[in-house]
Amino acid sequence: MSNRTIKVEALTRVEGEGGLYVQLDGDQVQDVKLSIYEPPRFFEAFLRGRKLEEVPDITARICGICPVAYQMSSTHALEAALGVKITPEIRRLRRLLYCAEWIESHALHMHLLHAPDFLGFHGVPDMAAHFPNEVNRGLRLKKHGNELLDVLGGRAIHPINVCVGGFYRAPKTEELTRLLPDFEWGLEAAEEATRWVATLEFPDFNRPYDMVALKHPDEYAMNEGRVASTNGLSIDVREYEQHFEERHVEHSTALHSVQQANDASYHVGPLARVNLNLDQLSPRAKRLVDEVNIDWPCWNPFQAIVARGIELVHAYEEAIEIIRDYQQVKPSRITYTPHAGFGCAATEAPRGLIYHRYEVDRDGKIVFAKIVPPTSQNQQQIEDDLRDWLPRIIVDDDEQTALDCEKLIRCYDPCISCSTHFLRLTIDRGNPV
Amino acid sequence: MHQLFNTFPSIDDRPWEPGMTSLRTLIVGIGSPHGDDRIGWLAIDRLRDEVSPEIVIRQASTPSQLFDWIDGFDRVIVCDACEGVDNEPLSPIVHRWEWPTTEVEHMRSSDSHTFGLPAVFELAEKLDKLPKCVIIYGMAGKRFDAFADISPEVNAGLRNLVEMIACELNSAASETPLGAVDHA
Repeated sequence: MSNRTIKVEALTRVEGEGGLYVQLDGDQVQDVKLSIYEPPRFFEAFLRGRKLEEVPDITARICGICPVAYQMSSTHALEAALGVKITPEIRRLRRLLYCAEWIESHALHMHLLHAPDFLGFHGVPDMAAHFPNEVNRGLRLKKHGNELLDVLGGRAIHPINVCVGGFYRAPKTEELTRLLPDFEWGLEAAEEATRWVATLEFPDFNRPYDMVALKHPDEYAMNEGRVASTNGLSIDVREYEQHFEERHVEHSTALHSVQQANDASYHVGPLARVNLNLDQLSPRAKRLVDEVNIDWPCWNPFQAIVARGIELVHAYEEAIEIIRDYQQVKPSRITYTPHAGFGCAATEAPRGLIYHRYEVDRDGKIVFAKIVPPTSQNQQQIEDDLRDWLPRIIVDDDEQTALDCEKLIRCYDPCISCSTHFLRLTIDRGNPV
Repeated sequence: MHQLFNTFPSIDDRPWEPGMTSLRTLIVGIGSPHGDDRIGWLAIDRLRDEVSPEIVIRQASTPSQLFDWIDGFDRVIVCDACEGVDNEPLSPIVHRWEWPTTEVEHMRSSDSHTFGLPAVFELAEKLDKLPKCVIIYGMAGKRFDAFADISPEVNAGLRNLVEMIACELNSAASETPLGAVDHA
């Protein structure tokens, strides 16, 4: 029996930079290592000594695709540290900001990044020749998200209008209502997109996941709630670190999160959210849940694309509702006096739960920062999935095997975000030993 | 901390109107606040006072943002950091390419879920959205550490980059530059 090593130096259509190392002994998987470069670690150190007012703008720079989740998680955690209570109007505007990010990110991933995998295309440029309407729809929906981010965040990428206590400036009513015609079209298009992705052919690959997401009694959890799991966990966010632990692994700069009780991996993301929060979805999203041919809760990671579609519909529906009711928020932010304290918060990035904890000194400077992004929480789960997936898809052609591994990894929409690196895809086919 | 010194808003959106120069032009600088990766953003900052009002200039963090903006333009000029093109990185050289070119593979390819510039241009072509003239300016960066300052060498080269773009705009305000080559 021969050994074989498959090494994918960098993963395509995954944000940032990542590599996959697979070692086989014949048909037996000996080792799977997902090696990624993950920058939040640098940001944690970079934040120390900074004024707390700087934190939302700095954390927004961690990721170009989900800046809101990083920014808002830090803002909520700092507000917890300072005891700042925002108004219901500010809270609603923040949910609108989340809707914008989910629309942008989900539309991009569904149409342009994930769909090509199911349709047999190497990438979206090839797919566009055969599915131009679908690709155009994805681009248009993505643009809606960016336009809303532009209004609320000051700009579409790395928003700078969010502050501890609220927003530097609340948008005028007409700045939001002018978006309504596009969003009404977008809601219809999102439904159409979800029905479309639900018809794709999915591998039969159900996994015994423990799925983790925020859960809120009154709303589909985006920016607040208890941490819940499909295995029955329900804890306050302040207990997060008593149940989940990040561990260093030699092969990755990113930490791997596991559940402390059993060292087990867990799954965060849209599939976890939909499974745990079906009843809180918006009416049209809930109708789609019943309409698509999926048994919920769903345990097939490939069907996360459908969960994204359902959340896309929810985000449009909620955004429209908020915009229709919107009156310019006054005051746009709650004032506070810096003082020593510590606080934590969890919110839902498009690709899963994100957790922040900060300690602030009496001058309002950051003493400690901890950021647990969704991708580090999913990393161990992805490796576990690959161990089960590889025997099913392994072929003599290393390149094909690598591509099939990438398809599974992309289900998680991993955000191995690094805005400063350039991706190079090289495949070392290795020689049988 | 580029972001904190250059607060809101970062977009200069001045739509084309009848009577303006015949080539409706969009200039996009792609970047991040990390070391020399901010080349594109700094170039846009410096171009604000150099270009005529009908030219739309924007800063982007990901190439995929181009899809939101390119409709209706005849010419798009993109400036960004690049890698793997200079044998002498101590003296950064401004590169100029016209799409299509395989040289663009040296440009940013990892942001926005690896939706790099080549993929953006290829997709825009397939969807008949690509402006008829696409020009890419690239300059090799030296350091990309989180929130690092721009390197002195690249900072010095920025002036040349901005002058080349301004010169191109001023000398051919109403013409499509034909036969241009990589100036490297």
